[in-house]
Amino acid sequence: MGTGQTLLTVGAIMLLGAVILSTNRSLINNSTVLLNTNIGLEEVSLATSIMEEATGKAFDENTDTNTVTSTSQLTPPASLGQENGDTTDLNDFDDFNGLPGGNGRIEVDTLSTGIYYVKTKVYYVSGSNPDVISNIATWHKRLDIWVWNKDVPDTVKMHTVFSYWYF
Amino acid sequence: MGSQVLLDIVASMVVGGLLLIVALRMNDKAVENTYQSQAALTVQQNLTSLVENIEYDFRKIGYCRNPSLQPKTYMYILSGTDSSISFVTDLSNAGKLDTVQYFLGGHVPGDPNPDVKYLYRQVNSSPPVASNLGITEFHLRYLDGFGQQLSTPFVAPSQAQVIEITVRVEPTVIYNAAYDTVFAVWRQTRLISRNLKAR
Repeated sequence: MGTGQTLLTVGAIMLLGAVILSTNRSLINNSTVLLNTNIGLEEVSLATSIMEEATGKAFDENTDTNTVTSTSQLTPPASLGQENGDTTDLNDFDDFNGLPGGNGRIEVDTLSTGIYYVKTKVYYVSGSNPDVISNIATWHKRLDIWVWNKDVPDTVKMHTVFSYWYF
Repeated sequence: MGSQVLLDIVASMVVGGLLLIVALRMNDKAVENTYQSQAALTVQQNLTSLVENIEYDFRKIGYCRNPSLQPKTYMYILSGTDSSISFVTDLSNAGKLDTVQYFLGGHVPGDPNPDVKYLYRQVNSSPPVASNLGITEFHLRYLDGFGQQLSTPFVAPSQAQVIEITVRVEPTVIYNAAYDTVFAVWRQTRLISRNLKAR
């Protein structure tokens, strides 16, 4: 086999190798995207579960069994969270400010595609601008939820605003 | 034909054969991957469609536009098992109560996936409407106000205040019948008529 033929053979094999690698990469990327969306579905289901649970609680510790008519009667912004460090009794919405767990997050391993981590934060917002934290108590509390899986780069972030009415 | 030429031909046939095997395997893998990707996409789309419908009905449990017809507190669920539920709601916002029932049926006849079942939805006395979206699990858990799980079927449906819904969807048809490799799961906790409960 002459030098020209050898070069042509080497070139052909390199070309074939490049095509195989490219195809393989494409297949893996495709599978990764689908796995990520599958995990994303479970993350959304987990986040909405927490939102449902939180919005089913009383608006505030002081509205659990009583009615309040002034924002001064609500829990101060700096005190939002579980009362007296009792992490087992989540009875109002702002108890979800920092769910109990290591490193400020809880671990959920009951779903089918691995271990999920959840972090939550509750704060007051104004009715006219619910995207900005209010430093004073208002009739509106916002819950931010972050859910992520250590095997997936993206984090699902969802939020809801819970309000109090009195008549 | 000299021996060198013969050796060249044999060697090139061996290398060519190896390359052909690689190409065929790659093609096979690409076909499998295409089928699995399509199946995964279909499963995820089916799951989201199903969950949208379930959420639409379940979030209105106990609601009635006409307050005088509203059921007494916590009497929204008429009956429930771990795979079926019957509840009242004003489904079309018409000011009258409807009875909605969800229940898991039997295996889908002729479906290659032996685990796929029908999910039925029945409104009032209309005939149940079956959906075949690849549902292999439709599991319901009921909790009382203290977070304690209620055993099913209920003795006292009025105690149920929270429902946990788990839905698993698998492809109805897939390459090499590898059904367990492609699936999507949705698990959600849903409160019953939270607007009436919240203070």
